[in-house]
Amino acid sequence: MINSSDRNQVTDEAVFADFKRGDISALGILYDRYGLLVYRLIYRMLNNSQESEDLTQEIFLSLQVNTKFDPQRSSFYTYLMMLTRSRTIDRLRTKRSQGRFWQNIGKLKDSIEQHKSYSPMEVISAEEISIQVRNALQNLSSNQRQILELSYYEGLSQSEISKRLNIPLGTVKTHSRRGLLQLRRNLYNLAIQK
Amino acid sequence: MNNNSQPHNLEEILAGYVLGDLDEEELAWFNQQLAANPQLRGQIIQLESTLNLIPYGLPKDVSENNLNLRSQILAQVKPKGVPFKFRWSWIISGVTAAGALLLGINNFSLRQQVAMTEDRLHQQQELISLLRQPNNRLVALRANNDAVATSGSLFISPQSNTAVLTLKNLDSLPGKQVYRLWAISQDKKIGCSNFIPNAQGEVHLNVSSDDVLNASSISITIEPEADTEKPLGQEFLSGSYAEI
Repeated sequence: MINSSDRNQVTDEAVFADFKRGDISALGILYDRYGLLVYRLIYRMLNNSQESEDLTQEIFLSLQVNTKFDPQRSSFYTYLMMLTRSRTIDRLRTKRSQGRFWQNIGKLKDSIEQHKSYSPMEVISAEEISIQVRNALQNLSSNQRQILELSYYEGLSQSEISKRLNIPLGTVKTHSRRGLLQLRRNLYNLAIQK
Repeated sequence: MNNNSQPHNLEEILAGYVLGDLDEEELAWFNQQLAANPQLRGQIIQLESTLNLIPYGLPKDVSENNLNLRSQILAQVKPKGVPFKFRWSWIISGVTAAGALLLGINNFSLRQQVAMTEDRLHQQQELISLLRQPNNRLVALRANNDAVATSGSLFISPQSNTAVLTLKNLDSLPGKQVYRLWAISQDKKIGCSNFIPNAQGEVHLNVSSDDVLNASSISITIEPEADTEKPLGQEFLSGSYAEI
């Protein structure tokens, strides 16, 4: 069990293990660390606040029954984001097949962040990571950034991106692969922590 | 990592694997490399971590809108250690619910089958009454080229003012191309209908045009687009009423 006073020092993996053993408050800690990030990722992909809230809840609740996380295979953070992205891509595909997705693309609501559940330490740490990631993305060429974002946030395949941007498939692959390698060089310290 | 004697750049192939964009040949090469050097897993994990840092770059102005998701989630988490009999009751009600669902699906599918059978029966009754009428005619359609495998016929029922065109072994057409039926009367060709075959290469087309009913022969062409006024494509199938 984790004390709230020293919870910042405990790894995600240890907190998750506590949750699996039945400590419900541990899920609260994981939510405090990544809830808003999960919500933002889903919101960026679905562009619908109600659906994003529902899916965020669904993903955190699924952690109770989901046993696919393997600490040897990835960090908890990577697992959580992969889970989030794959569930959201499933929703996107359903929405696209229903023809509603493209009508909503491009609309981003203006709202001011009022999130209070982070402790000051976590805010600084999440804030630092955000700054580094934004800088790293800015350091990519615009083609690399655009293709990586289309692939990551919209779940488009490389051939779909090739058609959308009217760029040859080989070029799309080169841009996305080199973009990811460049990101790894720029975010090396973060990638080995997360 | 980069080795000039290798067919691929290993780093780029690892990135491609994480991005899910390897083609078959690249994937085979990747698997060989991984089998020879299992430590590459470490690089893959790092690249996956890197890729999944991207959401940290999202703008902060997308927020939860003060919604209390945290407490909603925690309120729904079920504590562990539920008594045994509760588990059994869950399983029993689960099995019952699944059974009811299966019966429901089964019932629905039976009702659909009945509706389909009724529909087919109705169609066949209509066809029989059509076939019973006097003065019906059947025009065989022949390919103008031996290489064409398409065959079919035009069934004409003047009393019902109906003709039914039936064709098989038709190729699907690229782009805007369509098949077009022409009614020929006194050397004048009048366009009657555009059509394309179904997935099995078949066509069943009801035609009620007077032009077809009163023609001396019909022909079918492949046209570059629908509704051409004069045949632009070559005639590949034709049939003459005089042959009857």
